[in-house]
Parts: sequence; C-alpha cells; structure tokens
Amino acid sequence: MKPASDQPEESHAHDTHWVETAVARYQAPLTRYATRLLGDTERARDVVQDSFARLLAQPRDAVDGHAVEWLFTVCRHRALDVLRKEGRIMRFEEGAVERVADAAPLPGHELEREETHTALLRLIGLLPPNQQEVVRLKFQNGFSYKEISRITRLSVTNVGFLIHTAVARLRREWAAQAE
Amino acid sequence: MNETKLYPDDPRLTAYALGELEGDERAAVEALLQTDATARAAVDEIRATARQIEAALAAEPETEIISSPRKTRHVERYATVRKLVPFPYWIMGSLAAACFAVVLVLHESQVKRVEQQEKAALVANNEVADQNVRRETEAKKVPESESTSYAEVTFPAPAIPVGRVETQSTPQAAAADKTAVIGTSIAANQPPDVETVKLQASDAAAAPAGGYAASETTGGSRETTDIAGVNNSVAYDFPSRDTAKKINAKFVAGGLASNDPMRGFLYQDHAFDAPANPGEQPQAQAGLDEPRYFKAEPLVGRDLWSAAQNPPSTFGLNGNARQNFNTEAAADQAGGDFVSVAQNPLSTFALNVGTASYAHVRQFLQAGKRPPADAVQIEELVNYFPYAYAAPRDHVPLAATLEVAAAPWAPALRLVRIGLQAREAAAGGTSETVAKDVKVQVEFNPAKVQSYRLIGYEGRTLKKKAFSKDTITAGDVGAGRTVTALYEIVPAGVEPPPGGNALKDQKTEARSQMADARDQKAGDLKSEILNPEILMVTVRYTPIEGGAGRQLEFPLTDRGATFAEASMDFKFAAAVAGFGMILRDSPDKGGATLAEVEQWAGQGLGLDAGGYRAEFIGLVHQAEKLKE
Repeated sequence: MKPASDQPEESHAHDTHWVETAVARYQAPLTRYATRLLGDTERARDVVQDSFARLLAQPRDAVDGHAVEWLFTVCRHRALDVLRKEGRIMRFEEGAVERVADAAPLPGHELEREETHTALLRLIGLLPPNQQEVVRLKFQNGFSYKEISRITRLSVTNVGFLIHTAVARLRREWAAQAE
Repeated sequence: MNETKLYPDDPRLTAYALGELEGDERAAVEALLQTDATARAAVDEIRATARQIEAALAAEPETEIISSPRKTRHVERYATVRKLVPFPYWIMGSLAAACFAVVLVLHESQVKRVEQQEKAALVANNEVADQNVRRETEAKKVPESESTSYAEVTFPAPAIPVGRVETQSTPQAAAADKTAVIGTSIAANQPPDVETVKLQASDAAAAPAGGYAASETTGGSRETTDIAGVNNSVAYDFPSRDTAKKINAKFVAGGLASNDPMRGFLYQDHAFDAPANPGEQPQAQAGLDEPRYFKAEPLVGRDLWSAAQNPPSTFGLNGNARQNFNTEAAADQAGGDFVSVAQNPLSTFALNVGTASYAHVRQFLQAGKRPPADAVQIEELVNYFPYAYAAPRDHVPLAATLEVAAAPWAPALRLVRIGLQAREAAAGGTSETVAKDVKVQVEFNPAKVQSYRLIGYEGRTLKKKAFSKDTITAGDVGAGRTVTALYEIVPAGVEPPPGGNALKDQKTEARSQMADARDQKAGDLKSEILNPEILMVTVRYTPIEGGAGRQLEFPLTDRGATFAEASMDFKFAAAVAGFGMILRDSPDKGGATLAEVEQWAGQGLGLDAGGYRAEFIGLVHQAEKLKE
C-alpha cells in the first residue's frame, strides 16, 4: 500500500494559451478533416469543438509534442462515433472504416477542362473513403505513416499500401484526364 | 529478415519516395535505384504526383465543404421518409442501419412492473440529428424468493421511432441482448488512443443481485469488444445548443405530443404511457416514480476557455465542485459522517479491508461481554462474509457489482452496495496479482444525491487527493480478492436525517446548493437530462502485463427498489452494518434494533455455505441477551 503522496496539488493550468494557439492553427484543418469524415460542416464543427474541449482537459505534459496528432485522433474517434450511431458504418476491418458513402461518380458526368487543382481535388474526392482519409492525413495535414497509423488504428503497412494505391490511381487518372 | 526484393508496384517504393522508409529497407531501395532506371523514374513520378496532391489539397478551401452529391442525396432520403410515414419513424438512411437499428418504444398500455421496461429515445431529425442519447433497457426479473436481478443494458442508438409500436430488433441487436457486450464511451477526458467501452455482464437477468455495467478504457492498443464483429463504441454526446433551445421551448409550451421526437430528451428516466391526446402530460407507468420534468436549460454554449477550469466530469459538474475535494476542509473524511455531494462529489474506500474486527466482536459476545465501540469496525464486519459477485469477464481483471435499495434502518434513504471482485487465479496458479496499482473512486451525481455516508471506516482518515495521483487505496489486487463497500445516501429532495453530522451538512448544503445552482445552469445539460445515474464507480489499474493504465467505469441507476426487493446478499450486508451501528451506538443507526437486524439477516441467509451467516445470527442473539 503506497503512502499518501505529499506532492502539492497540481495547479490546474490556468495557462490555456497553448490551447488557444492550437485552436488558431488547427481548427480549420481539423474541421476540414472532420467534414470529410462526416459529410457536413455543422456536425464537423461540433466534433472539432469537442476535440478542443478534450484537449483543454489534458494536462499539457501529456500532449506536448504531439498535440496535433492527438487532436486528429480524438477528432476521428468522435466523428466515427457519430457515424456509428447513425449506422453509416458498415464494418470494421483492422480498424479501417468502410463508410457507407455514395462515392461512385455520377454517371455521365464529364470532367471539364478545369483548373489544375480543382480537377485533382475532384479525383481525390472520388477515392474510396479509406484511401481518401489517409491521403488527406498525409498530404494535407502532413502526418507521417506512423502518425497516421496511430490516428487511424491501421497498421503502418496498411497505411503504406493505401497511400501507394491512392497515389498510383491518382497518377493514372490525372494523366488520363489531361489527355 | 526483410525481403528486400522489390516487385513491380511495390508500396515500399512509394514509401521511399515519400521519405517514409528507414534503416535496412531504405538502404535496400537505394541500392536498387542505383541499378534500375525504371524504378528511379517511378520514384520521380511518385514524388511529382505527391507534390501535385499536396498543392491541390492546400488549395482546398478549409471551411466550406466541396459540395458532393452524396450529401444532397442523404438529406433527401430522410426528407422523403418523413413525408411518407405518419409516425416519425426515422429509418436509417443506409443499408448499414439495418444491422444496428434497435428500436425502443414506450409502452402504450398501463402495465404493472413488466419484465421489460423500455424507454423511448430519439434522434434523427436532421435538424436535431447531431446528438444521440443513450438509451437504457432494463430487464427486471419478477421477484422470486427474495432476490431481484437488475441489469442495465446500453445500446448504441441509431434512429428510434417514438410513439406506439411494436419493438423491432435485428438479429444483431438480439445477439446483443444475449452477448450483451456493448460499447459506450462515457468519460469525456480520456486520452485519444483510449476507448471507453461499457460492458454488461452477460446473462444479466440470471446474474446475482445488482446491476453492473463496466466500461473499459484501454490505452495503446485498441481493445474494444465486438458484437458480431462490429465495434459498437458509442460516444456520449451533448445536445447542441439549438437542440437544447428547442427542447426548452417545447417544455415551456407544456408537454410534448407522444410522437414528438423531443420526448426522449425529457423523459429519459422513466417509462411513460403516451398521453391520450397530444398536449396532455404523459402518465408514468404504475409503480414508478412521479414523472419528472427536467428543466431544459438551453446550453449556454461551450465556452472553451471556461471549460479549462472545469474538467469534464461524469455528471457534468462544474470544475469548482470537482476541485473542492482538494481543499483543507474536504481533505479529511472520517468514516461515518455524511458528506455533501456538492462539496465533495468524490469518495474512495480502501480495497484491503481486514476482517479482524469480526473476530474480536465475536470473541467479546461469546464471552458474554459487550464489545467496546472501538473494537467494532463496521467495514471489517461486512467484509468478513463472502458475497456472490459476478466474476470479471474476458480479460478484464476486475468487476464491480452495484446494488441500491432502501436503507432498512431509514427507508427514506438509499443504501448502495458496491462489490469489487478480482478474477480468479488461472488454472493451476496460486495466489497471483491480477491487477496492479488499483484505485477506486466513487463519484456521486449531485443532481440525484444530496449527501452520502461511507459506512464503516470510523476513526480512519481517508485523504482524498487527485484521483490520478497516489491514493490510500492504491495497491495490487490478488486473484479472487473481493471487497464490499456500503454507502448510505440522502437522495436529492429528501429531508436529511436529523441529528449527528447530517445536520451540519444541511446548512453548508443550502449555501453551496445556491452557488451550484448558478453554476449548474451554466454547466452541462447532460447532467440534468441525460444522466439518470446516481453514481459512477471508477476503477483504475495497471495491467499485470504492463502497458498503459486502464480504467473501468461502473454506473449505477437507482430504480427505486425497496429493501424487500433487494438481493439476499444486500439484505445480509445491511444487517451486518446495522448490527455494527447498534454496537457502536452510532447516531446514524436510525430505527435499527437487534430484533430487526436478526430479521434482515434471516432474509439474507441464503445458502450460507460455511454457515457464516448463521453464526452471525447467533451473535445477534448473544447481543440481545446482553441487553437484558
């Protein structure tokens, strides 16, 4: 039986500046990420707000150094909870989530000669949801394979495979589209 | 040894191109690139594509969503459903829904206590669709002999129709009933790689007394349990501000129609019969408490910055109340005093309770002498006896059994029995540690509980420090270890018992209640509306195999059981506690007499393997003789 600790009570950090900084920097990317997961901005905002609220509840030491990854992980978790409740998740596969999404392109839709980025964005938007998510985590939010693995609960190998497949596909489609 | 031969279309090439390879793998690719021009070209292309992708994604507007046909269709389907169906059946808009849908409804007819009480819950109006409410189904066994089993089941809740209808359930949900392993995330302040799962003891209806739901939080690796291969972890959501406003408006307007999806928010705690006419107040089912109309304060909006001062708690307490236990006045809680929940919502009890006191008491009584008060340690008397607690399941090393019923010596008050049970040693094993560094915390819901009293531990000082730090209860728990704690509770709205320590808390209680009423207004709506629990038992431990700490959560909802409806173990434990209080001439003994103690013990005799309980009754006789 351990003796009662004589440590002073932890001062509840009244310094919330670090969180304010995080909000300023990451609220937008998080909202974007959550919107992709959920399909609409309003709920995404709720989830993001909730994620920051949880960050506030953390002692700074616990998240220092990996706050962004932490935020994305929490955000993802919460978003998936919302999706689960609505039954929009079909099955789990190694932690991957196959969301019921109408990801198939509209029949007969023609890709106009669009501005470069828009075209590629559209192609990215047509990727299967799990590929799209890791592509965004990697290329839009700058996470490494390892970080993505932790956020999404996928193995690093799985992450690598998804990114490889997505990049190859985008490369193909992009080249085809340009012709 | 890594296979470093790269095949065409090898993901490792992409990984290398993106700077993700290390060590041997990286060296291997570099070696390949020296000789293979195709591979070099591929790497270049991958990098070029990656740059394009990054540029495109960087150009994506951050706050507005790129309109997708997906979203439009989704909304339309819901709208269509609403038009077609007279009752607001919010049918899940996707195939997956069928796998998850559990439909709970309010019973239409006046029924007595039925085997299944079901509560309607709501969701899925797109405007209020944000949040889901946790629904509960209770399975109550008709009391046979003297024991009643309670079970608490939580379903992940998709859309639910409100109003009269038959219960539908899918095979998966039915399986859920049986396997009864369900996920609910409760704690708001869990680290992100941790999932809190709420488990229910399997076959709860046949389980011994008490309702239990445990939730397990695991750090690091994900360890949530599945129903039929599906993870049902569900977060506990707050209604949005808009939702809360709508609830409030409807509430003020005087009740909701039976088919109004808002009902679920207000009437979470009770089963109601739908009113005959819209606008009428719903009638509580016979035998239940009066319907309670929760005051639906609109959420004041989640102010992130003040939230910093108010770490989320299970019951939406604002931070002040939660932190008060750190203050001097609250630091010492001698066992036996009533404690105000508003000031001290957290309690803890020692896990390593001895049983020597029982032997001493027995010795005195058998010698025809009255034991001195100091020799009577009530918690040791209670813990002397074995109780039937559910064993932990799966790889969880600890389980809690919770039960609440009327305190027999003061029927207006409630008595809570908390039993912790460690798993048995593995076959062939001797006594082994099953969990390390175990800490227990009980958090009371100020909306439901005014004050509480940990029975026993008289004269002992339990310093309550921050739960995450060392507490007096931290220690390793061996296989098969069990501990029982009893709390006497003054429910909200009940006159506290006169005399003794309860009085002094009354005054401070009134003052702090006002302050807390103010704070609560600004606090979480959840605590008032969505949370029917009276307390939450949290057990933290470190697994023996190492790794991150884990947390189990066991909530308890008071269904209003009378003492007669309690389990035999409960009655017997209460008898022992009553006996101890009489021997100590405790001011809290209420109306207890030795004759009644004997009665309660007799009702709780049960199988009495080993004859311990019969022996106790003998001691009660001895004590009665001494009085003469």
